[in-house]
Amino acid sequence: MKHFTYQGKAKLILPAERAALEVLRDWVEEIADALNVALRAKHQMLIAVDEIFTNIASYSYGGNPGFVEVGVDFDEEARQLIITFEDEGVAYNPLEAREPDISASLEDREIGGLGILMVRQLMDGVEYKREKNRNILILKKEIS
Amino acid sequence: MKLTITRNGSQITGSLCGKLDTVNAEQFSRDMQPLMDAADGDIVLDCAALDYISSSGLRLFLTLRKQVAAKGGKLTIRHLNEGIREVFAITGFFNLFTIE
Repeated sequence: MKHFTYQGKAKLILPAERAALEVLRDWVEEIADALNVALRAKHQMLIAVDEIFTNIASYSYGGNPGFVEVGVDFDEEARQLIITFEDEGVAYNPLEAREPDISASLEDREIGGLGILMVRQLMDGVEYKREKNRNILILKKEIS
Repeated sequence: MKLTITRNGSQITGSLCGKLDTVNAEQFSRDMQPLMDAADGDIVLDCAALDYISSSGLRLFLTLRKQVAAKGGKLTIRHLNEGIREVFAITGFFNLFTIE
Protein backbone atom coordinates (compact mmCIF):
# COMPACT_ATOMS: atom_id res chain seq x y z
CA MET A 1 0.00 0.00 0.00
CA LYS A 2 1.33 3.40 -0.95
CA HIS A 3 1.15 6.00 1.79
CA PHE A 4 2.92 8.92 0.18
CA THR A 5 4.73 9.95 -2.96
CA TYR A 6 8.48 10.00 -2.52
CA GLN A 7 10.08 13.03 -4.09
CA GLY A 8 13.73 12.52 -3.28
CA LYS A 9 13.52 13.57 0.34
CA ALA A 10 11.62 12.23 3.33
CA LYS A 11 11.89 12.13 7.09
CA LEU A 12 10.41 9.91 9.77
CA ILE A 13 10.59 10.39 13.54
CA LEU A 14 10.21 7.23 15.59
CA PRO A 15 10.37 6.25 19.23
CA ALA A 16 13.75 4.64 19.97
CA GLU A 17 12.13 1.26 20.59
CA ARG A 18 12.77 -2.00 18.83
CA ALA A 19 9.06 -2.37 18.19
CA ALA A 20 9.23 0.60 15.81
CA LEU A 21 11.54 -1.30 13.48
CA GLU A 22 8.75 -2.69 11.37
CA VAL A 23 7.31 0.76 10.65
CA LEU A 24 10.75 1.99 9.65
CA ARG A 25 11.44 -1.03 7.47
CA ASP A 26 8.12 -0.71 5.65
CA TRP A 27 8.79 2.97 5.06
CA VAL A 28 12.29 2.39 3.65
CA GLU A 29 10.95 -0.42 1.50
CA GLU A 30 8.26 1.86 0.12
CA ILE A 31 10.85 4.47 -0.83
CA ALA A 32 13.10 1.84 -2.39
CA ASP A 33 10.18 0.55 -4.44
CA ALA A 34 9.26 4.08 -5.54
CA LEU A 35 12.83 4.40 -6.88
CA ASN A 36 12.77 0.93 -8.44
CA VAL A 37 15.76 -0.17 -6.39
CA ALA A 38 16.82 -3.71 -7.35
CA LEU A 39 15.82 -6.44 -4.92
CA ARG A 40 19.37 -7.20 -3.82
CA ALA A 41 20.23 -3.58 -3.05
CA LYS A 42 16.92 -3.19 -1.28
CA HIS A 43 17.60 -6.17 0.96
CA GLN A 44 21.06 -4.84 1.72
CA MET A 45 19.56 -1.50 2.72
CA LEU A 46 16.93 -3.13 4.91
CA ILE A 47 19.56 -5.14 6.77
CA ALA A 48 21.69 -2.03 7.36
CA VAL A 49 18.65 -0.05 8.54
CA ASP A 50 17.68 -2.88 10.89
CA GLU A 51 21.16 -3.04 12.40
CA ILE A 52 21.58 0.69 12.92
CA PHE A 53 18.09 1.31 14.22
CA THR A 54 18.09 -1.59 16.69
CA ASN A 55 21.53 -0.51 17.89
CA ILE A 56 20.18 2.94 18.71
CA ALA A 57 16.95 1.56 20.17
CA SER A 58 18.88 -0.87 22.38
CA TYR A 59 21.66 1.35 23.69
CA SER A 60 21.37 5.02 22.92
CA TYR A 61 18.97 6.15 25.63
CA GLY A 62 19.95 3.58 28.27
CA GLY A 63 16.42 2.29 28.71
CA ASN A 64 14.85 5.78 28.87
CA PRO A 65 12.42 6.95 26.23
CA GLY A 66 13.89 8.78 23.28
CA PHE A 67 13.46 9.30 19.58
CA VAL A 68 15.28 8.54 16.35
CA GLU A 69 14.98 10.76 13.33
CA VAL A 70 15.55 8.97 10.04
CA GLY A 71 15.95 10.82 6.77
CA VAL A 72 16.15 9.31 3.31
CA ASP A 73 17.53 11.58 0.61
CA PHE A 74 18.09 10.57 -2.97
CA ASP A 75 21.00 12.13 -4.84
CA GLU A 76 19.80 11.69 -8.38
CA GLU A 77 23.06 12.64 -10.04
CA ALA A 78 25.14 10.18 -8.01
CA ARG A 79 22.24 7.66 -8.02
CA GLN A 80 22.83 7.37 -4.32
CA LEU A 81 20.45 6.96 -1.41
CA ILE A 82 21.56 8.68 1.76
CA ILE A 83 19.96 7.40 4.94
CA THR A 84 20.62 9.51 8.03
CA PHE A 85 19.92 8.45 11.63
CA GLU A 86 19.92 11.09 14.35
CA ASP A 87 19.38 10.59 18.06
CA GLU A 88 20.07 12.56 21.24
CA GLY A 89 21.30 9.62 23.25
CA VAL A 90 24.72 8.96 24.72
CA ALA A 91 27.61 9.70 22.33
CA TYR A 92 28.52 6.51 20.54
CA ASN A 93 30.42 5.92 17.34
CA PRO A 94 29.70 2.36 16.19
CA LEU A 95 32.49 2.63 13.62
CA GLU A 96 35.03 2.61 16.46
CA ALA A 97 33.87 -0.77 17.69
CA ARG A 98 36.34 -3.60 17.19
CA GLU A 99 35.40 -5.84 14.30
CA PRO A 100 35.06 -9.54 14.97
CA ASP A 101 37.65 -11.86 13.45
CA ILE A 102 35.59 -13.72 10.88
CA SER A 103 38.36 -16.22 10.25
CA ALA A 104 38.39 -17.35 13.89
CA SER A 105 37.63 -20.99 14.62
CA LEU A 106 34.24 -21.91 16.03
CA GLU A 107 35.58 -22.07 19.60
CA ASP A 108 37.12 -18.59 19.35
CA ARG A 109 34.34 -17.06 17.35
CA GLU A 110 32.80 -14.09 19.17
CA ILE A 111 29.06 -13.77 19.24
CA GLY A 112 28.89 -9.96 18.89
CA GLY A 113 29.96 -7.28 16.43
CA LEU A 114 28.39 -8.82 13.34
CA GLY A 115 25.82 -6.08 12.81
CA ILE A 116 28.18 -3.21 12.15
CA LEU A 117 30.40 -5.49 10.08
CA MET A 118 27.45 -6.21 7.78
CA VAL A 119 26.54 -2.53 7.58
CA ARG A 120 30.08 -1.64 6.46
CA GLN A 121 30.11 -4.39 3.86
CA LEU A 122 26.63 -3.87 2.47
CA MET A 123 26.74 -0.08 2.17
CA ASP A 124 28.92 2.04 -0.10
CA GLY A 125 29.63 4.51 2.67
CA VAL A 126 29.12 4.80 6.43
CA GLU A 127 29.91 7.97 8.36
CA TYR A 128 29.47 9.05 11.94
CA LYS A 129 29.55 12.50 13.50
CA ARG A 130 28.52 14.05 16.77
CA GLU A 131 26.86 17.45 16.43
CA LYS A 132 24.80 19.52 18.87
CA ASN A 133 24.53 16.60 21.28
CA ARG A 134 23.28 14.36 18.53
CA ASN A 135 24.67 11.14 17.13
CA ILE A 136 24.46 11.32 13.36
CA LEU A 137 25.03 8.14 11.40
CA ILE A 138 24.91 8.31 7.63
CA LEU A 139 24.55 5.36 5.28
CA LYS A 140 25.16 5.73 1.56
CA LYS A 141 24.01 3.23 -0.99
CA GLU A 142 24.44 3.45 -4.72
CA ILE A 143 21.51 2.21 -6.72
CA SER A 144 21.61 1.45 -10.39
CA MET B 1 8.67 -15.23 12.17
CA LYS B 2 7.67 -18.82 12.76
CA LEU B 3 9.69 -21.88 13.73
CA THR B 4 8.18 -25.29 13.10
CA ILE B 5 9.95 -28.25 14.64
CA THR B 6 9.48 -31.73 13.23
CA ARG B 7 11.10 -35.02 14.16
CA ASN B 8 11.87 -37.75 11.69
CA GLY B 9 13.47 -40.74 13.36
CA SER B 10 16.64 -39.45 15.00
CA GLN B 11 16.67 -36.21 12.98
CA ILE B 12 15.12 -32.99 14.24
CA THR B 13 14.29 -30.24 11.74
CA GLY B 14 13.56 -26.59 12.50
CA SER B 15 11.85 -24.84 9.59
CA LEU B 16 12.08 -21.06 9.72
CA CYS B 17 9.50 -18.86 8.08
CA GLY B 18 9.53 -15.05 7.78
CA LYS B 19 12.02 -12.44 8.96
CA LEU B 20 14.49 -13.19 11.73
CA ASP B 21 15.19 -9.62 12.87
CA THR B 22 16.09 -8.13 16.21
CA VAL B 23 12.46 -7.84 17.24
CA ASN B 24 11.74 -11.51 16.53
CA ALA B 25 15.05 -12.83 17.82
CA GLU B 26 13.94 -12.98 21.46
CA GLN B 27 10.94 -15.13 20.62
CA PHE B 28 13.04 -17.28 18.30
CA SER B 29 15.58 -17.83 21.04
CA ARG B 30 12.81 -19.32 23.21
CA ASP B 31 11.28 -21.27 20.33
CA MET B 32 14.59 -22.89 19.42
CA GLN B 33 15.07 -24.38 22.88
CA PRO B 34 14.05 -27.89 21.67
CA LEU B 35 16.88 -27.65 19.12
CA MET B 36 19.34 -26.59 21.83
CA ASP B 37 18.16 -29.55 23.90
CA ALA B 38 18.81 -31.86 20.94
CA ALA B 39 22.35 -30.54 20.38
CA ASP B 40 23.85 -34.01 20.78
CA GLY B 41 21.79 -35.25 17.81
CA ASP B 42 21.22 -34.57 14.14
CA ILE B 43 19.72 -31.11 13.61
CA VAL B 44 18.62 -29.48 10.36
CA LEU B 45 17.70 -25.82 9.98
CA ASP B 46 15.53 -25.46 6.91
CA CYS B 47 15.67 -21.83 5.74
CA ALA B 48 13.63 -22.21 2.55
CA ALA B 49 11.01 -19.76 3.81
CA LEU B 50 13.39 -17.51 5.75
CA ASP B 51 13.34 -14.13 4.02
CA TYR B 52 15.90 -12.27 5.98
CA ILE B 53 18.28 -12.47 8.93
CA SER B 54 19.85 -9.73 11.04
CA SER B 55 22.88 -9.98 13.32
CA SER B 56 20.68 -10.97 16.27
CA GLY B 57 19.49 -13.96 14.25
CA LEU B 58 23.05 -14.82 13.26
CA ARG B 59 24.03 -14.74 16.93
CA LEU B 60 21.38 -17.37 17.68
CA PHE B 61 22.56 -19.57 14.81
CA LEU B 62 26.07 -19.30 16.22
CA THR B 63 24.86 -20.09 19.75
CA LEU B 64 23.19 -23.25 18.46
CA ARG B 65 26.29 -24.15 16.44
CA LYS B 66 28.51 -23.83 19.52
CA GLN B 67 26.10 -25.90 21.59
CA VAL B 68 26.10 -28.63 18.92
CA ALA B 69 29.91 -28.63 18.86
CA ALA B 70 30.02 -28.88 22.65
CA LYS B 71 27.55 -31.78 22.75
CA GLY B 72 28.97 -33.66 19.78
CA GLY B 73 25.94 -33.37 17.52
CA LYS B 74 25.52 -32.38 13.90
CA LEU B 75 23.95 -29.23 12.44
CA THR B 76 23.07 -28.71 8.79
CA ILE B 77 21.57 -25.57 7.27
CA ARG B 78 19.49 -25.98 4.13
CA HIS B 79 18.00 -23.77 1.42
CA LEU B 80 19.49 -20.36 2.14
CA ASN B 81 18.24 -17.64 -0.21
CA GLU B 82 20.65 -15.34 -2.08
CA GLY B 83 20.38 -12.47 0.41
CA ILE B 84 21.14 -14.68 3.38
CA ARG B 85 24.00 -16.36 1.50
CA GLU B 86 25.54 -12.93 1.06
CA VAL B 87 25.23 -12.27 4.79
CA PHE B 88 26.82 -15.66 5.54
CA ALA B 89 29.70 -14.82 3.19
CA ILE B 90 30.33 -11.42 4.79
CA THR B 91 30.31 -12.77 8.32
CA GLY B 92 32.40 -15.86 7.55
CA PHE B 93 29.54 -18.16 8.53
CA PHE B 94 30.20 -20.48 5.59
CA ASN B 95 33.30 -21.63 7.46
CA LEU B 96 31.33 -22.46 10.58
CA PHE B 97 28.32 -24.30 9.23
CA THR B 98 27.53 -27.24 7.00
CA ILE B 99 25.36 -25.72 4.27
CA GLU B 100 23.37 -27.75 1.78
